[in-house]
Amino acid sequence: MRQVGIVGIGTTSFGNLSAYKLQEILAWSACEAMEDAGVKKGGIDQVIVGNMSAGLFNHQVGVESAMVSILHLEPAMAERVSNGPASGSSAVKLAYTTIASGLADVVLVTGGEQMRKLSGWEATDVVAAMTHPDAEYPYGVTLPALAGMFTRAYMAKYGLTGDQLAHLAVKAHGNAIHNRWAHTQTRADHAALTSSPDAPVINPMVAEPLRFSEVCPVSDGSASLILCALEVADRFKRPPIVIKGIGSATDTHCVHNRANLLELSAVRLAAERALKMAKLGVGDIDIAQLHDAFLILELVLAEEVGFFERGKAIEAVLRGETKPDGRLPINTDGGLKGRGHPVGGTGVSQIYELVKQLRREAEPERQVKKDAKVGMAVNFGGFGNNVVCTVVAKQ
Amino acid sequence: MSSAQLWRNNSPVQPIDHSVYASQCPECGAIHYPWVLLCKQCGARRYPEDDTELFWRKKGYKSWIKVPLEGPCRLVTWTKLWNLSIGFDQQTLDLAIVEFDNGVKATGQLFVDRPKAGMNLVARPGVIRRYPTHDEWGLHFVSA
Repeated sequence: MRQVGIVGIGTTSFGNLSAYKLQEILAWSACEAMEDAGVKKGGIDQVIVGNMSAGLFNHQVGVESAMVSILHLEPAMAERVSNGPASGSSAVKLAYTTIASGLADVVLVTGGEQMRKLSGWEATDVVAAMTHPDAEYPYGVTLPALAGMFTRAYMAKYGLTGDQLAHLAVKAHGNAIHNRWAHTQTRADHAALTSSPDAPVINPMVAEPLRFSEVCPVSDGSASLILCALEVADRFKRPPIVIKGIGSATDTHCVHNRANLLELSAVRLAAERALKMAKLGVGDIDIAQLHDAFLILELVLAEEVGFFERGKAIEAVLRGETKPDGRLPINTDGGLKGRGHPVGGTGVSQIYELVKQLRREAEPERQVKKDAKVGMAVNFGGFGNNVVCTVVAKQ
Repeated sequence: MSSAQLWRNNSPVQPIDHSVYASQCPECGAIHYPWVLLCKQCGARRYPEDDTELFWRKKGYKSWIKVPLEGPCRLVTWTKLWNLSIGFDQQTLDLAIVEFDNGVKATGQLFVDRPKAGMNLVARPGVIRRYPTHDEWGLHFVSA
């Protein structure tokens, strides 16, 4: 197989982009990535769009063709990949295999979603449609509901408190305010979220015991990457960041069918597969992007990957180890909680941030202090039933 | 007697079964909820239960056994959901995962004042969602 590198990155701002068309949102970040790489006209062999559900969110199908046309990339090959909130990373995985197999030399990968044209109730319902159609969805089960039940079980077993989770919200917002593209641009105050008289109003329950500050926002946005075979990387103006490993794994569709409710085996397996392919160990990871759609997931994913012992991740967070100047910076762009979560775009934006950090081009306040060489992104589909892990490194 | 009354009185009215069922593999006895097409334990196939089964059925095929999900169960975890999907005309919704004595776990709606992990509950059929044209039935969990 050929080696594959990332030579261009681009993103839109995340937030409310309902004034635009979906294909414009997708194409906006694609233009940024093509400019970053210095792609010449006709230089894209294949376009792959990661998008969860334009059919339900936008009543639009064939978004990959719409995006090709708005960018005049014809006659490039084009496909759309859908894997719930892990659609973005699955699109990167397909792009990787397309290049590695020799089918294409240069691939534009765009992940994006436009969720805010719908009301909050409707958007919640569209996302909930990925739960089991007979045994979960009809009952009113939503992704926050599954996260709430998970968090309660985790708290009971490991003694995690809501007060501790609020520290994660402070960290996420603290990173996001230094990210000009992030959805949330406000600093979070721990006392205001937990103990102030206003706390029940500004930080209400969403799915007990999860509060508003522990759940990601509903966002529009997209991010793009230009991937190429390393043997043609000298065509582009940016040195490549190499994709060293990609792994994915699945788990039961119904959360209740897992032997241990607190084990996210697909996360563990996806990370093991990606690290094995990269011929690296978990100790080699310098920086990580973990899918914190609910803040509890930043802790649990870090434990499943093997960064910390089970139940101990919060201690590392409280010691500051996961801040940009810490031993293992996690979610330096604010994560899904701070940066926002346009479901199909998240996986690509995680890798966008890793490339930004490895190039040392992030804003100074959130640029990692250590000389990071290897980064890992974990993109979480459903409630852990289809997970993709990507390992990237400096050449 | 009107023709409408005559028709009603002579119609073979079937009682509607609102129960929720798991399915048991006839080969190895493993119980699955929700239903599956291959047994996770022995790999045996399940064919359609209606008349088309005659088409699919192979010699010696045994139908899968319906196991009602009702009666005593134990609360594993729960949440009170404040941010509901469209279609629920209420402020909050309590949801839970329970485990039955036979080891089957299920998700359903919870109707208990003070839930506590491990507490004994009873599962029974109830209306879980109201649509303009019909009610959808599923699992309610109530105090034992």
